[in-house]
Amino acid sequence: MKKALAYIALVLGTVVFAYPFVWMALATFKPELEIGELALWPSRWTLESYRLVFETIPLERAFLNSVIVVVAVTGSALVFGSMAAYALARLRWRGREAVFSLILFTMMVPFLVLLIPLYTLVVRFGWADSLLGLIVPFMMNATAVLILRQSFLTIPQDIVDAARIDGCSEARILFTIVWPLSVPALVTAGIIVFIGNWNEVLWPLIVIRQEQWMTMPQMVALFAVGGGAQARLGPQLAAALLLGLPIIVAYLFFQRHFISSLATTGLKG
Amino acid sequence: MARVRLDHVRKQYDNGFVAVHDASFEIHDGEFVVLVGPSGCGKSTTLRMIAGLETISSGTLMIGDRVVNDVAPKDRDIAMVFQNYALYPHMTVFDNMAFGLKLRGFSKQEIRERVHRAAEILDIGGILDRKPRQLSGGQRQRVAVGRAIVRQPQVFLFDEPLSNLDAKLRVQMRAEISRLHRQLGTTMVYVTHDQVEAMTMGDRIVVMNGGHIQQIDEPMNIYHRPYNRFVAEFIGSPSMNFVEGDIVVNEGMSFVSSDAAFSLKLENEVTEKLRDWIGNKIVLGIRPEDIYVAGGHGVPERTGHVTATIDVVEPMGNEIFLYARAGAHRLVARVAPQPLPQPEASVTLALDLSRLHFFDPETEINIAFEAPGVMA
Ligand SMILES: Nc1ncnc2c1ncn2[C@@H]1O[C@H](COP(=O)(O)OP(=O)(O)O)[C@@H](O)[C@H]1O
Ligand SMILES: [Mg+2]
Repeated sequence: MKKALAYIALVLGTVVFAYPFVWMALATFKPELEIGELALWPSRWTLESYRLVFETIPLERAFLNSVIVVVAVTGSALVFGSMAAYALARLRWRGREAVFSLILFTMMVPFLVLLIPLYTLVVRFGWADSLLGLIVPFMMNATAVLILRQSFLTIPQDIVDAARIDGCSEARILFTIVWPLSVPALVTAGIIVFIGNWNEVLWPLIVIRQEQWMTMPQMVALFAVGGGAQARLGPQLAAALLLGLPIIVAYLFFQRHFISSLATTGLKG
Repeated sequence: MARVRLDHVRKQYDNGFVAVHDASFEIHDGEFVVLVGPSGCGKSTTLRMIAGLETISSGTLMIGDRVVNDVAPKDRDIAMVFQNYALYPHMTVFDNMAFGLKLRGFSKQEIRERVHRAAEILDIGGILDRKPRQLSGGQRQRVAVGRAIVRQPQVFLFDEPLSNLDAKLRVQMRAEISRLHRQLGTTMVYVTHDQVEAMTMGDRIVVMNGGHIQQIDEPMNIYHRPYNRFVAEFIGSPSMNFVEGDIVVNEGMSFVSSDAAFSLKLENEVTEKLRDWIGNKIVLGIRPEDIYVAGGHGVPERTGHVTATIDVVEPMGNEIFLYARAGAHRLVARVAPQPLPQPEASVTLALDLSRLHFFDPETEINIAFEAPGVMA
């Protein structure tokens, strides 16, 4: 009886969370006029909304830009983040605690506060209106450093020492010993950086003017609000769905690691 | 192969704690030296300084003819076996053993040969494709040793390599490491808190306590001529018995226990050394195997008798441990198998007078100690 109640609650919860998404996904295949109606299922399946999206905006180009940016940002956040995390977790040096506190502190500063100074810097470096302007400021990520450091701390000192005696440099220890033992943390940090960066709208809106360098969220936002969609709901939803798709794919792909890492970090740390 | 030499080596950790004070000793080429002492006495710190995993606060460390204070671990030509094996969990046994060779640029052919030769010596040829988590504790230990020997280093360092094994396996691996030492003839430094390992494996033993070296000598010398009370107590199981008392003179010299529960007439050889102690407090030490049940088997000629009450009898099969008390003093005797005395029974113990040790109650130094080796 108790179990049944629990299941009912879970199913209800799932429906509540999933419903808007399912509704949206199905709505993109409905004829425009039908979208306002309550029915979930399209009476007639159509790709009209998608056709309009691809006709109006260069979505392929934006997708490519987004992929380049997010891959570069995630990759470097993991590589450089690991280096910082390794130094914080495994090396002894003067000022280590202070640097760690500083990194924690940067997490508490709202991005909005940094917006103007960061923009000024990017302009000075000549990176405005280029993909570099979207990549360089985010190559380091405090959250990633934190997650990785926590994971690196759990690796036994003896293994690191054994590698040192075997002839590894510190960099090699990081990438050939520590990395393979930290896959869940790398995946978690990677997903967090990936999602955060993929969804970023504000920063591209400020830095990028030329359509050829726009990322997908920026493009979709401009399309939805900026009149490209001609105030039609279908194409707006279709664009949003396309925007969310890579995240869903990435999540499904990595979810095993992601969940196991979230479940174990508490135990090990 | 090489000697290892420590010259006034000291280690102070970042938090100010001094883990090793002024350690000086030399490990000869090809020698098997055991560092032994209770947990926290600085054994691992000493070993890790030799390995280059900890910096040396002051003093010099030499491996071969080279001062290596500032040489990185990988350039010291040493290999180390850790207590928790420290195998790389994501690599196969083969790769664990080959890793150090690959980094040093050995050819594939040479690597394969060396790994297989080591695997043969250690009898792990059948598990080269497995990952560490698929191995038993004993197998992991062998792989850890294998990883050390493929490199053919000048010096092997072991940090309590057998502590995580069950008793039976420990005895077996002990013999195997000794055999390995004979076979390879390489200098070995072996850290343990287990005095049995120290006694059975070491060419020489370095006894440490509280960051200080207590005594350095061959096992039998350490056992029979301990430099101080700490060494006497730490080496040997059950531990040496200690009785506080006084040296008094009436018709010859005697030792009288502090509560006058018993006294022992002392023989000529010792009286010479105890002359300065007449009328003073002193600590008598005697090993359990030097105490007999009077009238029993193999009692030596010159003994002193002590009347005691049996507390506990522990028959071990080939021998019996008798835990007895004489006045306020507790004595453990290790005697040959015989009809078991009952607890609370009175028993006359015969103490071998030629096997008495005497310690200064203040400094705890062995009064009769004549230094054959080096002292801290
Ligand atoms: N990194 C460190 N910082 C401060 N103190 C340490 C550190 N490592 C070990 N110690 C202390 O140094 C002493 C000796 O440690 P260790 O050499 O590991 O002892 P052993 O191996 O003989 O058990 C211990 O009291 C230990 O707490
Ligand atoms: Mg230790």
